[in-house]
Amino acid sequence: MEIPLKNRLRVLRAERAWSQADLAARLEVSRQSVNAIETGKYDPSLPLAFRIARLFEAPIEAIFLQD
Amino acid sequence: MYRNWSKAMKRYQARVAAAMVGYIGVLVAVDWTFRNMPPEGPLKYALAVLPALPIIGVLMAMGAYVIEETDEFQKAQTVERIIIATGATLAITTGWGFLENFAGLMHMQLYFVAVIWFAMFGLANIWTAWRYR
Repeated sequence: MEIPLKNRLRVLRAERAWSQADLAARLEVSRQSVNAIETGKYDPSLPLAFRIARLFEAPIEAIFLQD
Repeated sequence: MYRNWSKAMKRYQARVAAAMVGYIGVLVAVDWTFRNMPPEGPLKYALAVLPALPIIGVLMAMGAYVIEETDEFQKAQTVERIIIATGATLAITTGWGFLENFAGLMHMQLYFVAVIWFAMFGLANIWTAWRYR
């Protein structure tokens, strides 16, 4: 089993007072996707990770953390 | 399960609905033909295989959905469901085959394999929805 990525999506979302649905709409993905990524059940593809990073104006490694 | 259906999901549902309506129509027509004016020669085979086409259509609609879905998570979930359904169907039908051979279980018609697959796909939907809840 590979080590699941941790992420700061929930914190970043809270800072902007966005719901999962708000973030999903901005990323043009389903709310289920945001939830699955946020809870670490699904790792986004590289293109989606870049879209998330651009949206939060932060480098990918500041959002997705290993170990 | 999907509160906001994607365009690909709506297209999939429309295609499946069309295929199911077509299936019922074709099945009734073919059944009636074989009962009342049984065809002969090549026509017999051509007519007999017709009810399979809408079912193949459903499978193709699934393939099209996986290609057309832009939400990568939904796509990945669907692929996972297809793999689970395929594995479960192979397991059931392989077991059934040996039970038929050695234990005299009743013969399973091959078209029933698709029925089992769709049932397993339905169960896989419940499983993945629970897992990614």
